[in-house]
Amino acid sequence: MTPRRVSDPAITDAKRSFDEACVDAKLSLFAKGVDLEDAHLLAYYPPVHRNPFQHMLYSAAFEQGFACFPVRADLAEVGAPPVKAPLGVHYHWVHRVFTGAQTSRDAARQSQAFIDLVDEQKAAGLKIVWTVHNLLSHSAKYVDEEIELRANLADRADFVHIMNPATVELCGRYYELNASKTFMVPHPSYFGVYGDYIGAEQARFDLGLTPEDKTLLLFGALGPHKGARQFISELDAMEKALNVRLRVLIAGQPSDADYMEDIYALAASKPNVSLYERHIDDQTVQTLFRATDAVICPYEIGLNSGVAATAATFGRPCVVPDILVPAMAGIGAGIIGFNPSDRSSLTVAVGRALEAAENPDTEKSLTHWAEMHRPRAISRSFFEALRVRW
Amino acid sequence: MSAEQKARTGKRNTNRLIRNGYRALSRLTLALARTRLVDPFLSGKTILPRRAISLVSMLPPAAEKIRLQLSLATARVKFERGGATLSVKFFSLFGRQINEASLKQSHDLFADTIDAVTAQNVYFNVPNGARWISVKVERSGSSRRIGIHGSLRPKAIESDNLGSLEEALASRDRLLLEAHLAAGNTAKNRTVARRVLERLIYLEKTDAEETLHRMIADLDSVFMRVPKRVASDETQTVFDYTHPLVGEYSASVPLSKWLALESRALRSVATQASVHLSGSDYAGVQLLACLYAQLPFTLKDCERHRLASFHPWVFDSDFNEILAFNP
Repeated sequence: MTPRRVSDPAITDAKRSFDEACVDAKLSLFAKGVDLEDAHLLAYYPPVHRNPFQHMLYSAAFEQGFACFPVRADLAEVGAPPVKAPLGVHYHWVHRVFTGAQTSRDAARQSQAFIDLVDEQKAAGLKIVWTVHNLLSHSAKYVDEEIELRANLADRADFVHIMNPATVELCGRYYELNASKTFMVPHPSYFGVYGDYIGAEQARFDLGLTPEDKTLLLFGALGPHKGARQFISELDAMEKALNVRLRVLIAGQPSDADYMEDIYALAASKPNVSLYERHIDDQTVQTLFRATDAVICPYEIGLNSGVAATAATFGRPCVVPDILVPAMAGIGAGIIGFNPSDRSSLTVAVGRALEAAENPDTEKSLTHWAEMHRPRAISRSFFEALRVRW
Repeated sequence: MSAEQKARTGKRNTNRLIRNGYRALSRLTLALARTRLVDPFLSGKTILPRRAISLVSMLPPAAEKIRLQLSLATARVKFERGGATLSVKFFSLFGRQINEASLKQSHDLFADTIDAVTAQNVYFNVPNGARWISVKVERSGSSRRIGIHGSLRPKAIESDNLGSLEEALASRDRLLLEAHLAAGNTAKNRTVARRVLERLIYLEKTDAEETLHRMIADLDSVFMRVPKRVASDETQTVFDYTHPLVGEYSASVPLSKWLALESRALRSVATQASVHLSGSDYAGVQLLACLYAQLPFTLKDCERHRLASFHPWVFDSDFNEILAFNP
């Protein structure tokens, strides 16, 4: 018998209309003790399921008088709410607007249609909130159109949430962000998000690592923007420079078939590289991070990194591009920057990360940062900042 | 199950179909069918081959909706949901494919047990400008042995005979069921609507029908549970309730949820007041909000005739008992 169709992989009411979600939001806030007049509604788009970021960011919403709900089907249905309430739309990874575009003309048309919708939402009295996750999307295909899209959204947004204090300056290379609209709330750690009950020894044993292996982890979606290809090709030189035999774990969901062919070809000649090319479920994340000495984010560019925050959560030092370091303020020696245009600096950073891993204070300071940045606390800061500006 | 066991079971099922009059397509018929111009099922009961079978034919003139009638059989002991899939593509006179994303272009068919085979009507809306249709039928799983009988040539829809509700509820005929759903609305009968929707959801589980079923069930629950009478205390103040307080009611929201919100808002502004209902297109929901909030109300005569106007599945009769208790 054919299994019954499931409309939405998330465990939420996928069939609920936007209107009904608004009514549910007000009823839920009322039940929480929020005055009906003071109940704020925040619809977010696009909803993502495997990345827990949105659940983390919104985890304290109710305490702060906000109810957040995903826009599932059609962004066009988001307009004036059916019940009187302050309503905002919170945009995240807006490059999704280009989904299905075959040409740059398609991309420009889809971008304009999206901006028209944003204009309609503003005209209906909705507040527009935007979280700038990146300067440009990792796999930007329509770069000019994406810059235009971001410039238009920046222009229309009422509030811009940034997670890296250098965001305004860095984005300025491509599009202008009005600093007076921005508010800085850092990326949350993953404290309490992933399973975390396995010890490092067990994790290393499970992965066939000896206690002496110096192990590095490259984690997250496997695409050209993540730098794994170049990292593997530089591995021999890095081992020679550091005079150490490295074990490298590369784990994540492949996002580009051609790119993966390169990875397979490079990894085939490197028995010290283990490839886990799949989605890593929430209970397995701990095995990889606990087994690791240091986590490497060999990206060319990036404003924020969930991987670096995960590494901190598991007490593991992390190597990131220089521009990402300010986003992890207060983390101490556990975050090590490198200059992406100077590849030798990556080798130096890896050496420093391995040294940091041997210092017991590193894990303490990282986990302390993770506790201070636990999702609930960051969520509270986010909504406090939003409420003040609303 | 090992591959060998699977093959043995498949052969046993094929033999059972053959014993019941289903025949494998000959090589010649199969070759002709590959041209997509010959309907291979015309010769009678056939075992559906592993590869999909397609037929291109002209659409009936000026048809807005077409019907295909097929019956499917399985040698298994229980019927199979989605035993085969029927899909269509439409083309203009000159062969350009016409895509209309809003139109459903495939249907899963049930395969009945051999002793209980029934014809299934499947309907497709024809997009504007379409003159040709390509109909494809294929087994949903390669291991399935499915017998088929009928034609891949579409027919225009002729009859508008509804038949009885019980017949419709036993059928898998969407058009018939939709007609009964509309009749349920005309007859102001939510019970009929719920039964029809339950059948449609069982057959196809569409989001729109599940939502409508939930909304109608909610209406039944509201009218069953709403307090019919409000104690009329001596109150000195009158609250002029001219329009809903939380916003206009939208039929895309379950009424009970909207009333929970509205009655709270009403209670907060009209505590110990007598509510004077007037002048709104939403008099019906406002009246229900008064009952939910347990506030006495007065209603103009002219409002009594449009109490049900706020929702297509709410009827004047729903208010009879309430009005009798609250003259």
